[in-house]
Amino acid sequence: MSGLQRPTSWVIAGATSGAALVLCACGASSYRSEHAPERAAETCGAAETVSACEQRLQTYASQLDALVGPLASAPGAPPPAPGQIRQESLAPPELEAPAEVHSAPAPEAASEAYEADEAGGSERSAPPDCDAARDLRDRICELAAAICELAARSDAAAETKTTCDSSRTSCEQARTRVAAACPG
Amino acid sequence: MNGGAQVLRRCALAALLALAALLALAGCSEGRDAAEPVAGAGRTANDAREWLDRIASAHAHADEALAAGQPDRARTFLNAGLAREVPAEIAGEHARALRQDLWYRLSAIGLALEPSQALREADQGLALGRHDDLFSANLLVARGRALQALGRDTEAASSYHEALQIDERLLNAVLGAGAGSQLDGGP
Repeated sequence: MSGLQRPTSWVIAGATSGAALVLCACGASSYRSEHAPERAAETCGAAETVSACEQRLQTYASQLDALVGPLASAPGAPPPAPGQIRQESLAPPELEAPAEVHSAPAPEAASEAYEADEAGGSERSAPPDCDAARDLRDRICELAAAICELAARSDAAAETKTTCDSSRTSCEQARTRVAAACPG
Repeated sequence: MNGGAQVLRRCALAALLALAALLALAGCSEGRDAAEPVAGAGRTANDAREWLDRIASAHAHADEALAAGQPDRARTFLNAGLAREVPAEIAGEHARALRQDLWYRLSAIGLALEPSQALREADQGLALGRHDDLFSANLLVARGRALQALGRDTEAASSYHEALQIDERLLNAVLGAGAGSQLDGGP
């Protein structure tokens, strides 16, 4: 039943499999196997108690809240835990990536800084969600690439060229930060 | 830009997790109703469940239509999902997110058919509210694509940049607290 413990991973394999399998696990069947028949067969054979289902669904509710407003600026509202933002949810709309925004290898210095930080008793209680961080980094860099592709056109506005420079910097910073926080 | 099927598969991911949450909640409620009725569960819960099922069905049928090379048909299903009245039991932010994802998919599909329509659809999604979340970011990307297809490159770059800035803030949140993922484990 390891699949039930990581239901969001199913979303990667099939667009609707996440919803399908959750329904399956909770006893609803109408939607379960159209898009992930193998997974459905793997998971639906075992009954799940209501309490177990509800316990897991509390996690889902947290995920949803993280998706809907991870940085929501409601007055007085505490920020949600960033770790709730899941990799699958961060999958970016695809953009072509021109060569100029290709990444450099993760800088060793950054990794060392992270390790030193960890060894020195940082305030972190746990590592960040590196899957989410990497996906966000990729999104940022793909968007920067798209912007710079537009800026490279002969009739591009000066404003777009400026935005390209800024975006490229954002991409580089994202790469550096993620490399530092998520070595390896 | 890349091929439609691949793009659409990825573009749906954000809201699908949300759908999973909501549908799962509905599924659990139903399961418990059968065994041990809960006070307050009744027609309203059924309305919510039905709405969620309709949204899930819209996505599923759109997937099938796209796989069959029928984007217009896919759009029909997604529009049907948007046409459903949102039950009061569905939290406003959840409804907003799910409806924004429907708009996003419509825009993504429509891009290859009619960029100006895709632009309108992205704007309609954004009109539901701009937030620092993936739904707004995706719509901004869709808007940028449509603008780019229309030759409005400067505006396209601006939309892309807005999306990038949201992603930067999300990354800050992910790296800032460094809390362990709460989503890896389950019961």
